[in-house]
Amino acid sequence: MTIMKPGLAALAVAATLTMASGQTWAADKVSFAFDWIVNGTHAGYYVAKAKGYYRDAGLDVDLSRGFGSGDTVKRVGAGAAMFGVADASAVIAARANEDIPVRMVAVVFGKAPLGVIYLAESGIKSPKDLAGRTIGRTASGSSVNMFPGFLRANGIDRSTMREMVADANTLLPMLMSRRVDAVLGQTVNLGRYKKMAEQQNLTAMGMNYADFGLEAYGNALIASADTIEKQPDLVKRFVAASLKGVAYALANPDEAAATVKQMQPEADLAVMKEELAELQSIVLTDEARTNGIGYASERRMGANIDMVTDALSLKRKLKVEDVYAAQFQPKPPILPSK
Amino acid sequence: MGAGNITVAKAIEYGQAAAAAVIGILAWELICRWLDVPVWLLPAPSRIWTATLELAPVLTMHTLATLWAILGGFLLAIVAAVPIAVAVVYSPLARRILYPPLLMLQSVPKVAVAPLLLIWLGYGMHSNIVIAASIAFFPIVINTATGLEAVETELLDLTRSFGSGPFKVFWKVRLPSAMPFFFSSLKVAITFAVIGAVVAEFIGGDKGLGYLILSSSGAMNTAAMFGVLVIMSVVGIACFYAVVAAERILCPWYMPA
Repeated sequence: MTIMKPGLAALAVAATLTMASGQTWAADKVSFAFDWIVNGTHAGYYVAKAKGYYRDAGLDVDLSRGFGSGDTVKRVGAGAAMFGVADASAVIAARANEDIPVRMVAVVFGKAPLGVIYLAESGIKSPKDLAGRTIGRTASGSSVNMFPGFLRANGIDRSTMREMVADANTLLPMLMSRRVDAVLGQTVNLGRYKKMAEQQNLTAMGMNYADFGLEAYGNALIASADTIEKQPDLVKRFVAASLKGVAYALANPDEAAATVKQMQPEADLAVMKEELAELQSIVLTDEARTNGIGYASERRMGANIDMVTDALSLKRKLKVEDVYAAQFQPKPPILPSK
Repeated sequence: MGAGNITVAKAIEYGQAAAAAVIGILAWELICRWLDVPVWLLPAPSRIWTATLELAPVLTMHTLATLWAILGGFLLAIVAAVPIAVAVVYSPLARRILYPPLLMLQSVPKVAVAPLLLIWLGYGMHSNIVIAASIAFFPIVINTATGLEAVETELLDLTRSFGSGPFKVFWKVRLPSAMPFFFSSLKVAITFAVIGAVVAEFIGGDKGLGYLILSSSGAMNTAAMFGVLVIMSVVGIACFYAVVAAERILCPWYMPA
């Protein structure tokens, strides 16, 4: 614990007083960048904004899309956005390789939605059936980083597979045109695949790494070292309001999807509902039910670091506190509604 | 004596350019060190150098893959563009029919269409060549057509009055006068082909400098990514000057000595 400078302490007291007395000051301006284009996984943050959770926490939050977790990590590290959504493995890689000064402040996805998406028509039923198949994947990214671990856990030899590397937006048509048997991606986006598959009388299925021996954390809220050090109170308020929004969105998925649609008219309502349905098992893990949404255990985070270090042959080995700041967990914890 | 002076003057000119480059790189290095710029924001030249050396074993293969896509796309663009330019110049009907779809093709962002091209054409070098060609193609059509039309009418009348047939007029008058236009479009087209080849590698493929850029930035290795960018620009510059050299050899009549 560092001792707060008197000025800062006074400021913190003043801030708390202002919040209690109903905002005589303007709310703190906060920019918040997602990991990717707006989709159902971001519904909780739109809820937090629309329902005034952020406002009540003295925050004026500006939500914006992202361009991949890696990019969001850099944006937050460089101060272009104050908070971000990024995959745990991207944060670990960024810290280990380039020492980008960001840390996770809440781990929203207790189970990474990374996995293999395939068509039921291909005859794939279990991980073993992937041997000898053609797999589509992106050049980099979490689903690719974690793939070796998944294969090892299931005793599959990667050299038996043919791999096609393509842009993320190309993978969906590649799968639908049967140029590949399966693609690596975010199983939380399965809704997009299902929708397209149904139009061709095909059935898209997902196989989550986490259900086959690879226990990884997924998307987390991140903040820069500077913000964590200088504005811990703001971080705490942001985390609590965001997680409250996430809990609400999961309990009321239809309303949450409609909220996003209202603020982002180009988002697809049906797809977002599918994504929110997938999100239930991703966020509401046993860990989240016991310790609250956003919680990460030291043991699993350590194992996560090992996995990423191994998969990416990272330059240095990190400690849990290098990547994750546990002190921002809301008290009492935000437990799933219902 | 005269020739010797020219060589000396040339050497001084190149020396100046080289000195400016060295000073620029040194300044970059020193700024990074003095201000302690984090490597992920802007890696210093020395960091880029070491990171690139680590990539060295695979670099040749990836560079060659990109080079083939550039050259293939460039040649395909020429082969497709020149006949269209000729048709447009000789036939008002062809112009009316061809220009709207050409303009449409040019206005469509290739990055958005490239994923579809990959599905239509399949996966591999030939797709990359087509994508590179689709970007490089347009300036050649426009410039070549302009060049073929830019002949002085008096000259056309004169050659016709000597009884030259349309083929001879094309070959002896229109084509030579179009050459400066044609080559200036090729200089634009080759840089577009470089962009096109890399765009194609971004969209699909596990070979080429575009793929290396994606994989090194994905692995949070910004210094390596910069190294690949430097190699890419060297390839681009080399291709550009190859076109300049071809122009000097093929069209000496209008080139400065």
